[in-house]
Amino acid sequence: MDTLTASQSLIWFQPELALVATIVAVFLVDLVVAGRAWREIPAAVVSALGLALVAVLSWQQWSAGTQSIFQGMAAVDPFAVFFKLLIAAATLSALIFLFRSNEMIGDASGEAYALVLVMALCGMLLASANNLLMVYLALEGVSIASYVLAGYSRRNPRASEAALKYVIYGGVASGVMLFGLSYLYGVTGTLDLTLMRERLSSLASASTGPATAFNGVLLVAAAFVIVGIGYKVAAVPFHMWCPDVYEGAPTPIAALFSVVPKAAGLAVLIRFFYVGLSYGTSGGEFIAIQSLPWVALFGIVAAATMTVGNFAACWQTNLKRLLAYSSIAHVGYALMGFVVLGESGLSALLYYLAIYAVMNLGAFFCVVAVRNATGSEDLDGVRGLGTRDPLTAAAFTVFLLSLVGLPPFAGFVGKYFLFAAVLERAGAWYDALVVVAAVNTAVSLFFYAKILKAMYLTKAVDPLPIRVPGGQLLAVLVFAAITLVLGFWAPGISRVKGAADGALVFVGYGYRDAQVASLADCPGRDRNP
Amino acid sequence: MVPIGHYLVLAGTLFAIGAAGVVSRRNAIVALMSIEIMLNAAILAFLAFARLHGDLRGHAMAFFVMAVAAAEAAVGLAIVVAVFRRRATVNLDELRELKG
Repeated sequence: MDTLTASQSLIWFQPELALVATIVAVFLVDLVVAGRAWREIPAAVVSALGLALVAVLSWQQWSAGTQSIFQGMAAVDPFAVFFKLLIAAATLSALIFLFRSNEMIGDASGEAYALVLVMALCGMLLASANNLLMVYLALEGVSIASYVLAGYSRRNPRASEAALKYVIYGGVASGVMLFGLSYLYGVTGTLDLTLMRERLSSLASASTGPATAFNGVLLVAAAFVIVGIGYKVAAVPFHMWCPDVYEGAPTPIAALFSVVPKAAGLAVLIRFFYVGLSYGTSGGEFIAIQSLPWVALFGIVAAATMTVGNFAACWQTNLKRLLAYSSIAHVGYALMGFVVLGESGLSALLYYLAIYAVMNLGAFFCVVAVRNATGSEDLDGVRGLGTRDPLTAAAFTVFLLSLVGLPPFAGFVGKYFLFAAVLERAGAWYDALVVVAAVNTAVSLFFYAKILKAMYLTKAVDPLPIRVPGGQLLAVLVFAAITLVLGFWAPGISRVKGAADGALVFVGYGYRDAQVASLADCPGRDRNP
Repeated sequence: MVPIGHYLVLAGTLFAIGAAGVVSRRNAIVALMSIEIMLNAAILAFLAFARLHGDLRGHAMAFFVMAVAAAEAAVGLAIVVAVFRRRATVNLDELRELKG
């Protein structure tokens, strides 16, 4: 496989370089205007322009094929580009709500923008990491930036507590994952994911005798890695930090936490397990190396994640906490696509992730708008919102119904693709998984409807109309329009689905035509057994 | 030369000590120290395997892990200070404002 050296790679690294330059610029600009009343404006403008540039540069990589850059450390392939665009778009829209958020007043705000950008940068690196060192560094980069952001509003004692819990859970998870990575390195002698798969398969075929010890080490290593990444995407049983952190963090930051780290975590999960630990076949299905049962592990994790998330959400009265549990549940749905071990499942997962990003950010943004106007983030805060601010209430309704998965909203189409992908696979376990998901969907209607009831059927504590700033209202309405249009407008749906299908091209993969040529460089290794 | 098994047993023991420390000790600073022990156990395992394979990438990994661990400790301790200023305690059991 052709891997580019450092100097050749730079041209493929433009989006990340642009983001690094933006981060430095935000810090410098913030220093120059320190102490002024309008100091937030330059930082916000520079961040937004930088992110827009990053999105454009990433977009140009979409059709540029695949490259393995920095001697195999990172991959530039449509899969990575899909996630880069998702992360850039999510961060850009969150900036609108971070700007002049009254949860951040009094704290140095330029730093907040820079930290958000650092999180986005490390998320992008995580999505393109093709080497265990990069996986670890990018994961820690996302984590450390999130620790600081979680405790950002220093005057709020709950924020510091949330940040402390986050650090301790996160430290344990990364330590466990690192230990698992060391065993993978020990077994294979390489940190490169593509090489790792080749070495594992040749080791597996060489050890014709008792392969139990070899399998045992691999399974322990894979389980340890699942701890590390499962914590990042808040999959049960590594989800305990999630509600606390969302409640303690400033609301726009919590909105970002529900998308950027989760998307990046799912990206690295897919790359690690599909590129590192399984083969692709020409039929678009994958086979796990040594028939390791990690797929079964993920099936259990997915079912547990959606069940715990949905049932715990039923008792919540704090909107951020409720949405935190709802985001846990949605990761559970998305993981169903991971369990399928086929391209249809992965494509459904990516589609769902894109839809989830829109509807979940939208729901969080409605909470931000309500919180800024009323100072409350409880269920009581949205009481009577239907009369106090009909537009925001209508948008919130669209997001909530879409999160349930009701037609004609985008969430329904996303769930449809996921369920269909799982049902395509024959087997009682797959059917059981779909039944669990369907029951969960019904349960989730209960707590989403609780918010709807508060908005439309109860009297407001304070009946005065509230005013949401124009820019924020516009953003919420645009998100609601996307959620609505992607629920029934077939050309739009097929376009997004086409992007999700097209994103399933990985560096170092043997079965795609584009990749066949590079196979010739690796003699003696059979990639398609 | 010390056989690899010795290193791996030591790394496994250190990892277990670290994990037990996080789970059983309630002081936030001790918990952070236990996490460091877990990371060091992983570093030791990486170095032992690097020696076994005669490969330098494991050594490179060790350096990066040390740097990241330092960054994480800095952020972690800063957060402990922030918590202590507000609540005058760093006992994890007494920090129970967030629940539900």
